[in-house]
Amino acid sequence: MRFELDPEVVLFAESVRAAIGAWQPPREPDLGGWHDDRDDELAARVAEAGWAELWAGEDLLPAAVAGGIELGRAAAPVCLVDEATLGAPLWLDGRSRHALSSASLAVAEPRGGLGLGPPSSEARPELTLDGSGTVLVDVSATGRLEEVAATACWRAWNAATLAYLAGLAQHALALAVEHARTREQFGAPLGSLPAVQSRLAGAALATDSVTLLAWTATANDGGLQPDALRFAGSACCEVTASAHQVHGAVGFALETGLHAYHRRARSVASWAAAAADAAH
Amino acid sequence: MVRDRTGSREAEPGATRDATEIVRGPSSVSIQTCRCSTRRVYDRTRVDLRLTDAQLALRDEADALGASLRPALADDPEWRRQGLLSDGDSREVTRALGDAGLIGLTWPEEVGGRGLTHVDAALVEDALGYHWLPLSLYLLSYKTVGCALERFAAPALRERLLGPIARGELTFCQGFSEPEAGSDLASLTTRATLQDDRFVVNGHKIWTSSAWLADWIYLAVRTNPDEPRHRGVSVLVAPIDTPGIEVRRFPVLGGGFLCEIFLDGVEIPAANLVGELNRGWDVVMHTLDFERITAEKLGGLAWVLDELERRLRSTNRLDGSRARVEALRGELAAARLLSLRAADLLDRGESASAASAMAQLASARLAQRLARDGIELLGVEGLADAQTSAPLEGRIGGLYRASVGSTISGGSADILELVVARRGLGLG
Repeated sequence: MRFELDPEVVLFAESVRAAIGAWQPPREPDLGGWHDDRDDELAARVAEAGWAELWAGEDLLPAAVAGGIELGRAAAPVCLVDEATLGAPLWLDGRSRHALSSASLAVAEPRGGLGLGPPSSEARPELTLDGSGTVLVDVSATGRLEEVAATACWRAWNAATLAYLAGLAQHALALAVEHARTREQFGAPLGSLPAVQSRLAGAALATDSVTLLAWTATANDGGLQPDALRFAGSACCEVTASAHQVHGAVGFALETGLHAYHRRARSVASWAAAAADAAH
Repeated sequence: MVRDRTGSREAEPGATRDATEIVRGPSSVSIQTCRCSTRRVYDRTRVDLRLTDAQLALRDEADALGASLRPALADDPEWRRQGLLSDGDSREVTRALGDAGLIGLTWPEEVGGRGLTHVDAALVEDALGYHWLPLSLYLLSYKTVGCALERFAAPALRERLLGPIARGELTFCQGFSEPEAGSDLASLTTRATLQDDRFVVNGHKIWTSSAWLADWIYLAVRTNPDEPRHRGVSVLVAPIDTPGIEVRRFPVLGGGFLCEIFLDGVEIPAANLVGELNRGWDVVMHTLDFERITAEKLGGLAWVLDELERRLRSTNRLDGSRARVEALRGELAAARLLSLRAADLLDRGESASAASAMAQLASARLAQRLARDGIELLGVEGLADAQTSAPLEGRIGGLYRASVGSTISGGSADILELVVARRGLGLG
């Protein structure tokens, strides 16, 4: 048991971070409109850094976590998680993300199964909370992956999703801590108020919890981990909500950018919970 | 991206590469650094928690001992009423743990230990807790007091005390809190005056676990009243039957007892000083770092969760409650990781204050959430309390009572949050 990563995994995280570069989620999207933050240039850069085909071996799980955290920190498009781990956009409950023009969809099937199949209907955009390009679409008969392959895909998706949630939480917490340090009220930084300290301590506890669960997923030899996915989803939402509370009104302004983390956290948590449901 | 729509992906070109092949060298990338101090925390959350074979064997050893000791406890009414058994008292169990060589795991072999790590000890405590062994005397004697003695006591005192503690023959209680010094421990007023080769101690301690059973007491006292607060504090140890020490026990909500200690002209040899005179605050803080890693509570909560799920399944209620049970399991897994991380920091000799505060917060909140959710999910049968024939041996009712104290004992959650914010996040 050790609490340190191999240096090469740290380097991989740095290479994904560099590939993300200055990319940021849209700051002022059309609320209540349909929005797809898919970015093919970003996808190409992270693929070049090695963020691809993460199902291919258990020894890639540390990379799935290290890179997933970086993607979460940037609130990067979630298609980067689905396509690098499942090979196609995830399809659940009649919906898929970032799948407006996908030739193939990854279908969650009962008891941890996974199928791949083409859309059988026109993709109809569905307005959703975040900009993850959700579409309502039907899938024709799917080719069901062999159990070993399906498990490997879900294992990678599980690790990367937990990591993405950890990254979202880490960034939201870092923004909130920075705000609490620099914003002064009553003649002192907000962070000197015990109530604010208490709230941020809770957020730090939740963030570390999700981060530790993500790294532990590198030792997972099964597929989805419903326990970790459910807890991590709600914990991440708790962190982003706390970050908003600490920011006060300024966080409510779209130009601040925190909203992207709050909305994406809820979205990923719901998809994670739905995947956990499908695992039974 | 190459996609395989037919099934196995094992034969794909990318299938054989390993993690090192997808790494890009650092020279070609710009490395962003986080300006925020939370980075310090995250640097310690990169983790590979595969247990070694030796750790698996050690955990199995503790599990087997716990299973063997549990049946003999069933007739004890105190055991049935105790809502968080890690708070329970038993000299017999402590002795059995000593006989099995499970006390003092982290100490050197020459003082009765095994030279293992605090992570190993946490794994053992989790396994023992799963069987709901009464562990209060063990925890006080080894983890909080014993480990501080091992680090801070003079060689003669270490030699005198650690061996008997490791054998389960010598037990300790810890006299820290006072009627006017609870969360604000640094305001303690119990006075120790050095007269020749002994201290004379006068004062009043309260909320002391296991004092009615313990052999010795570990006392935080004020040795220099002219120094402010945490300066001028020292730590002493003494047999509990030293003249002038009076113990009064009183029953508490969780089951069992807490005690108050009256100290009236108690003479303690100067050789029983732990650490340096007037520098006892460092010893106290170190002690609390150990106390706040509550792996044993998590083991007990894991048993409750296992039994809760079994009961819901056997009564066809699991499908409707699966999401809540799974979320609790996820929270338990995270709490265990937080405990192990804090233990790992102690093993490295690094500051563990924020990490151990987080570990205790996670454990305490889980205890309360599990008690609330468990009672709700079980319905009226969950109200059974100390009724061993009831579902979960009637433990949920007891846990509901006892978990009230989980965010109070060992440090109020409100104060622990400030520790996390100030030491972990650099606020304040």
